[in-house]
Amino acid sequence: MKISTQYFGDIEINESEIISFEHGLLGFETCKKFILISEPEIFLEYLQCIDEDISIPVMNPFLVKADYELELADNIISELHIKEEKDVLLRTVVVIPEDITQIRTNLQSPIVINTENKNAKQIILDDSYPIRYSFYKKEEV
Amino acid sequence: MLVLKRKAGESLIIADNIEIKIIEVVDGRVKIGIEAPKSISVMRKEVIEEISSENKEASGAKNIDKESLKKLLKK
Repeated sequence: MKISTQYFGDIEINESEIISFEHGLLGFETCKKFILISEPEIFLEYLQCIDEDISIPVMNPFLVKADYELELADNIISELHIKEEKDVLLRTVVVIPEDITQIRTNLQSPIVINTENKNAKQIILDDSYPIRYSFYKKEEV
Repeated sequence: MLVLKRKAGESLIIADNIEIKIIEVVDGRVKIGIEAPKSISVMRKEVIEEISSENKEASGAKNIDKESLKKLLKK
């Protein structure tokens, strides 16, 4: 199927790529189906909604926090039907203000994607990680 | 909205398995205890609102300076 987007123009997507958020994303409760688009050459990816033209920059949190760690609650594991740890893909929402030095990512509320069945959910952890984690010039190896 | 009056030490039961207990009321602050199955998520509303507003702000990114992002982190 083909969708029209503001950022990427018309794109052809394969049904098998569609990631389903049963409850949508916080703030975008009606957006339930997304695809993940990689940005060539930079670390960003975009969750592009296919119900509405909304795209949300996301990233691999381990790029800025190598020791990022979380335990998935049993109800999340069963809700997303996660069978194996290797099927889990974590992404965090990136806010890119016009002043690039204020770039930040939400480590408290990662997006958990089961790559096996493409079910996903934005979960909320306790406050050991911040909602606004600034990482301009804070690259960790 | 259902409005009920409760005193410290009193509880409410929601459905069969969620208990909300008023533990203490001091100077306009209420300490609440919640007993619920682990599968029930309990969140402070302002946290949900903050995350929701971060998501919205993220989706509003415009004129992203890709050159400086390239320098910022290696893929």
